[in-house]
Amino acid sequence: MVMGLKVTVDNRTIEVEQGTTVLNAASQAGVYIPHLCYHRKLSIKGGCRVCLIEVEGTPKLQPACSTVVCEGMRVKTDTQQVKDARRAVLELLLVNHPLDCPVCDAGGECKLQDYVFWYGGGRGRFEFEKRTFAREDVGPFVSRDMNRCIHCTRCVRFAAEVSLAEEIGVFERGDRTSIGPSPGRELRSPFSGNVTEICPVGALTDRVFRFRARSWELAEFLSSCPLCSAGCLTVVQTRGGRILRMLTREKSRTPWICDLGRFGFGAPARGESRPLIMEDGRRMEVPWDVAARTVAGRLRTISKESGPESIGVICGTLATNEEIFALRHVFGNVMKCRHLSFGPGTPSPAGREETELLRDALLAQGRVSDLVGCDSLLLLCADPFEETPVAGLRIMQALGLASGGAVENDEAGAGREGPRRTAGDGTAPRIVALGPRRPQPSTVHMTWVAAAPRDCAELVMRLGLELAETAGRLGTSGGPGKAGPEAPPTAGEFQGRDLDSKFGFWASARKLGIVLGGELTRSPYLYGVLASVLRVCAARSALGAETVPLFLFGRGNARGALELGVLGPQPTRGGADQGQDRSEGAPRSGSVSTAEHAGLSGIVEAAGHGRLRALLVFGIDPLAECLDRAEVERALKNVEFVCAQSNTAQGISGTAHVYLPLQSIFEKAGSFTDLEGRLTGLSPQASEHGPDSLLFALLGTVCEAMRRPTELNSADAVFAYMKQSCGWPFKEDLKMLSRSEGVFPRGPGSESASWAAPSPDWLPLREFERRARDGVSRENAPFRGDITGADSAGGETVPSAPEPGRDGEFVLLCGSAGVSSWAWARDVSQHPKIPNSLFVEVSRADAHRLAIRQGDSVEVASALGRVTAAVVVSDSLMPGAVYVPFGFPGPGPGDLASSRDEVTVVRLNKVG
Amino acid sequence: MAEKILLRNVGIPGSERLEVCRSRGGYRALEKAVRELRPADVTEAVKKSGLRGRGGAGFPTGLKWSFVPKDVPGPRYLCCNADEGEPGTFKDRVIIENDPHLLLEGIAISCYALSVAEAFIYVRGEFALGAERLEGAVREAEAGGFLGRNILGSGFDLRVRVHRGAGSYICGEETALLESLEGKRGLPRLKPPFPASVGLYGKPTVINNVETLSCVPSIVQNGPEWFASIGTKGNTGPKLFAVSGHVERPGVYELPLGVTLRELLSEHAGGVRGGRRLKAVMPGGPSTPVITAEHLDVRLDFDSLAAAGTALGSGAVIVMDDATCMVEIALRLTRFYRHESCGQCSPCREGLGWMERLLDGIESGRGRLSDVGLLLELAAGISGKTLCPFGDAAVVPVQSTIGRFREEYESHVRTKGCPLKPAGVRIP
Repeated sequence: MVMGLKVTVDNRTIEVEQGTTVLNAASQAGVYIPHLCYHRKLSIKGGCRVCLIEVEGTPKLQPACSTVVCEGMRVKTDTQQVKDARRAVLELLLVNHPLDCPVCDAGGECKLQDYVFWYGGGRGRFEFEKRTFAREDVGPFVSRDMNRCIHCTRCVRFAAEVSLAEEIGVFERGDRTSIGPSPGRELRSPFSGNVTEICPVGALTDRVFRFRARSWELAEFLSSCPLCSAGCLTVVQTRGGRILRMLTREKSRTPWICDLGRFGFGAPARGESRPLIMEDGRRMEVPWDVAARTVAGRLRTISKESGPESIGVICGTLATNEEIFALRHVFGNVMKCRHLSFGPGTPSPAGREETELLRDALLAQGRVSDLVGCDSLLLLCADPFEETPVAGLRIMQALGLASGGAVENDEAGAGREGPRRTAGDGTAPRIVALGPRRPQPSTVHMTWVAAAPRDCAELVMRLGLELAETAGRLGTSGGPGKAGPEAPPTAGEFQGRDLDSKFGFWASARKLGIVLGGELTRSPYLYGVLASVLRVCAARSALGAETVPLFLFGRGNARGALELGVLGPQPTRGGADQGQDRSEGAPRSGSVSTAEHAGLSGIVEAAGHGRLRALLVFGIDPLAECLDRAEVERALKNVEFVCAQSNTAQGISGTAHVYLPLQSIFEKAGSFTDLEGRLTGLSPQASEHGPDSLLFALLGTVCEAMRRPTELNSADAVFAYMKQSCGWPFKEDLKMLSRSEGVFPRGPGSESASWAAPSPDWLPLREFERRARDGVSRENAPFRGDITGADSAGGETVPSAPEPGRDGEFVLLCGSAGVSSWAWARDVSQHPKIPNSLFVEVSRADAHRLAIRQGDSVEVASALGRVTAAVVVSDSLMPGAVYVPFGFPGPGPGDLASSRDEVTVVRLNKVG
Repeated sequence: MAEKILLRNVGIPGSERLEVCRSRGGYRALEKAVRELRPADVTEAVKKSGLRGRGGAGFPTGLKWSFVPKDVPGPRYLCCNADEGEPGTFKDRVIIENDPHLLLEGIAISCYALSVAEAFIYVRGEFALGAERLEGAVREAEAGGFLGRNILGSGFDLRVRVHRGAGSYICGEETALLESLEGKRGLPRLKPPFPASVGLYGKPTVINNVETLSCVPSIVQNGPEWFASIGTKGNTGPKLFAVSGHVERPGVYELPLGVTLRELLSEHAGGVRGGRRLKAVMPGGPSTPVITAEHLDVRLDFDSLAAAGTALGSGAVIVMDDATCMVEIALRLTRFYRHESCGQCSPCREGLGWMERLLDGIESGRGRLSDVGLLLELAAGISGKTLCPFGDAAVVPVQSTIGRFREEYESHVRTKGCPLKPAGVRIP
């Protein structure tokens, strides 16, 4: 920071950095200057004129928000001239603003109200009729009252500069100006809720919170958002122990949150609040300790009679690190179960090779800020804005395509540095998307190579091997790379080889970011793709280029589940050789090797063969989330004892022998791992169950029954134990963690992926890669996508393979629906556009060809079964594919596809 | 002034055509500039000539040019502001429609001086004929080698594009003009940064008025000393006066800067219509404060008018005789400004509608004496508080008519109506 400008604000002289605005300089001097249109994360507009101040030597008043200080500047904010100007501007702002603060939802947290109170004239002189507009909902979450709008255009700038949705505009001019989405449209971006927070008055209000409380009744807690891997920091506002609103921590590293994070807490608990036990076909309410003792007793008996391998445990990813850790500790270490899964979205490595690959991938994982300076970015089956929206936002910020991030220096007059970079203008990084879906936002220029996941994986593996061969670093004989660094080939040489033109950047990019979509974890190609990406990192490193891999993980605590649940606690791995040599000082942990965990498919298989006698399911309905539902259902019927902890007594919980109520993730204390590996803290809200997860009570009872008492009976205790066994050096406890901006367990920067000297031990071809290369896993190997295409205005779309719906056949894609599909919001809002039952997405081209319209009912049929659902016509899905999301009760992807098939072909028929 | 400079070709049949223009000496100054002068010489000549911007502010043109940074890589632009939208102003239109080549020559020489390879003419949307003639003239000039690639064999390239506005008054404000040219809403930008450093598409940009640019050929042709000999000290060169209102011969008159108002009105415009008494004059368009008959001997130049408490503005001399109601004038103009306010900053957006309603009340007999004071307070709350000069301009009619004719406002209130109009007449 270059200090050095002396500025005097109201006789207080301070020294500020060059480029500081008067508003910020005054704030540093402890002088508050009112402002409405200025927002520290948005470009400067200078329109509200509330911040006018006097600068000595300048006859006219100057706007403090846009005036940059100079040496010796003397600013006065309390002269009569300034006071008169403020009073005049505020009086004018009230000309058309209703004076009904008592019934305004923003009352009490309205800047205009405060300023009129502090600086206003106290008397209205306007006696004419006010300009009026009708109130209108502009989406399921945002309500607009133009009468209250003061035209600060914060929302417009947000949509243009930050969310890149460009979905809010200014219409008409002068005193007829109105603001909102285009007529007939609504706010559709996954960040729409932020405008309710930046609106300084009550013009844009949050429909979920609207009129549920007055702002001064709310208690506030610092917390973080557990709903996806972006790791956003939040402020939770409660009244009487109930969460009413979720806000951003405005001045933190994540100044924006997505709609899922903002409104996703809102699902009301529908389940029973007390445990139920099934006895003689009837369900009985029992106290917690009875239920826990029942479970522990049955587990003990079954374990004694049939061994621990007859017990299966499935846990969802909407769980704290402590729950995941304790679950693994109790079932993996104490009970020695090998059937432990963290759901279909978490990889279950089948062997040692895969396990190590996952560890390597975690070590290689970059941070979003590492993407700064990338000249090329590959989005591999990734749609960051829809999967982990705020991470997507930060990626765009890191690439310089969006502003409003925490990284930029907003003191230095943001918005002055000229136009933002736009992708495709020559200075911006090249973005190539490879996958079945055109990533959002559509306003960002990118080349989209449309291909089904199998074809994407195929292409990436082939190109990765080619690149590695070129770089001379491919250890085909099983040893480390044969060619030394003495004669690395140049990128030019590489480009001359058999590489498709669209992927020239693979080798030529100076710095390449590779963003991998979270849905890859469900995919059978996960390991092949990960290995290829790591191979590319190393090969490019040999070519002298930098690569940043960034895996998005996805919903919930997916990284925590992988790191602490699947792989088990890892002490610091400073170098490759230390990797296996661990846990000298740490308590015993991970005595069951991870490779022995069977995973979800293993559990289903064991149950199908009658080898599983007990199944415990925590926070997930495997039937709603898995493929091949009929088979899973049959298999689970073989299990004689099922215990389910869930927030609904439906689904698998409906038939469970013991049902345990599940607290909301917002009611538990604990930590959470974001996609960058940072730990953030969840601040628990008072609930009838207390701040600690009910799981710990159950696990404690189980351990006691196994005569292995444990002290892991609270989140704090587990956290302390976890810190010790992982060798994490930081001092924060859970409470401090939730107030902090998050902690990197191994210290900042130590895990950053520069790949300057990649470990050679993964360079040899892995078995599954060899299979892929030799075309064993596929009948006909060549990539069928046509990856030559012409540039078009909105970025380039490359025709896809397979042929669009030829013979009425489509490739079935399934996964979690994107945030802006609002599938998650069906318990939050009653908006007619929120889907409350299964939908299928069809590309616009296919819909047009088959004369299917939005909302039409179609039947999707595969060899396995059929489902009927409403059509959503998509502009981002590739032609030739049908997308069926998980997560709706009732029929879903599980009725259509089996996890054994690499590709599922479906037919589409219009119904009625 | 016997010899006309800016209106030299006006009235000559076919004056908009290249051959007629050439036959009357058109593009000779451009030939001289690109063949004999270095770009810096042209800028120096313009500086020495004392030419001040004719768009209204009267800023020295050569000085404005010198603000363009020399060492910034990438393109730089020149924009000709032909969005002549100020009520009562119609001087640029005469040049655009009758002598487009004079403007193009001025643009070409200025671009040569500024090393600009691309210039834009932002022409008022309503000037359909003018836009057509400019486009035709650009084509002719390109075909004739006066624009386009390698102009007159000098190696200097210049592409001129004609862009038609969409009818918004505020787009005559130079930064709103740039926004509009970029395809955005025509909203004035915050200054600084000034267009000379961050202008069109973020690049250094000079914006000059049609009349200003049209002065440049004669400066190059006849020398800055000749130009400076016209007019008065510090207010040099010819000026177009657009005289409108209650005079016998309204029209555009080219006279040296510093001519007296009396000379302009009585010798050229034929005096007040029907022999009535002069009541008020807006010497430079509606955003300049009114002056009265006692100011008839004021010199019409930047400095003299400023000393008289008003401004030369665009040179739109609006003359009002003694049958004119000043409240009505203020009301009509405030209504215009309210309608044209872009709405991005609070005082102008919210204040002008209030003022209009107060004025309407006074004019139609519903006013109160306190409304006159309130009008002045509101005007003070807008003036100097807005993002662009529009707010300052918009309250001038109210401030200056109350300043000089307060009695007339008060008699409206007392007599509950306009004393100069039969009862029941309403301002549309």
